[in-house]
Amino acid sequence: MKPIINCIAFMCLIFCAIVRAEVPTFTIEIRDHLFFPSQLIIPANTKVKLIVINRDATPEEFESYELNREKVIMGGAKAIIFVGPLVPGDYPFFGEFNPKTAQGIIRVEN
Amino acid sequence: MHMNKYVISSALLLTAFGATQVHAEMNRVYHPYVEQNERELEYGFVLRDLGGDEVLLNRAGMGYAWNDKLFTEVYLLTESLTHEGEQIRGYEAEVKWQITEQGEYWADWGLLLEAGTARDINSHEFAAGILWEKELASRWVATANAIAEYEYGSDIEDEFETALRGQLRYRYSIAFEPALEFYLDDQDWAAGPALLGTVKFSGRKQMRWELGLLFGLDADTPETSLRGGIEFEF
Repeated sequence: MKPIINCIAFMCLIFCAIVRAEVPTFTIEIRDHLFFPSQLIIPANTKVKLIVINRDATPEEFESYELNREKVIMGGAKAIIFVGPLVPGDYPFFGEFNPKTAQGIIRVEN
Repeated sequence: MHMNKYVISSALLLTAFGATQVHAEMNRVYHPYVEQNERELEYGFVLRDLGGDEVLLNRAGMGYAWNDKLFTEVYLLTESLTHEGEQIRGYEAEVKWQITEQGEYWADWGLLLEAGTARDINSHEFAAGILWEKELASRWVATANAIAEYEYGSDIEDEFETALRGQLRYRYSIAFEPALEFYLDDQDWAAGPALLGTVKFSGRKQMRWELGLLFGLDADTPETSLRGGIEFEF
């Protein structure tokens, strides 16, 4: 079984390496249950890499139905989230563990 | 394929008379994602042959995501309607491994490993599946599972089976997502519409639900089956 799994994983990685391309990177920080910046402007029709750094001691979940993303970031840790390519518009996101304070928008512009 | 289906149909007949076999079911399409530290309680059912010789297959599960890559779940499988009261069919355990980060590549990939055993007969299974998902334009999401399964035991015929499941889902809103699904395996060929949704509670508590109607695509598959599930995540 293990050689089969290794083979499958290897094929996936080869496939991924072939189709992978460098993407613009942006950083969002979580401090005191707030996102910084709370508004991020990214280019339209482009895949973007978000590095979300949680400076708080408690975990937070980056969530956005509009972006189709949910990702838990443990306290003092960081997570990578890929979004897009997106058409121009506003895409809200929030912190599921602190939804009243942790809110933000990704603005996609041409 | 026809021989295979005959053997499995016979096994299903045995099931109806009290013997029990764990086998692939039209129970869900898996997504290749894991949410770190997520705990999950789940109930799901497949009501086979709606309006005919109905068999209700139930599963109750409890799962936990150990990190952002690995999710494990154990299941108790039971069967209703064909027996007085309820009968335990078997037990299953599964591991889901999220291989790629969502959205990083052209499509998202995961791996599913399952082990199961029946309670009343000597029947065991191991399964491995590739989980694939691709976000399409205009809120459409395509998901597919390709599963290979090996069944063995002194009460069944040892055999290798394969299954392909697919779902095309429209992300209309978090509470309501219509979908089309198909299930192709050595036992059933079925397809039909499904509805999915999520109800949010406070914090990270939420309930996901699914309901699907499946129509048999060949003579050996029940004309109509109903599948459903509720997952409470916390």
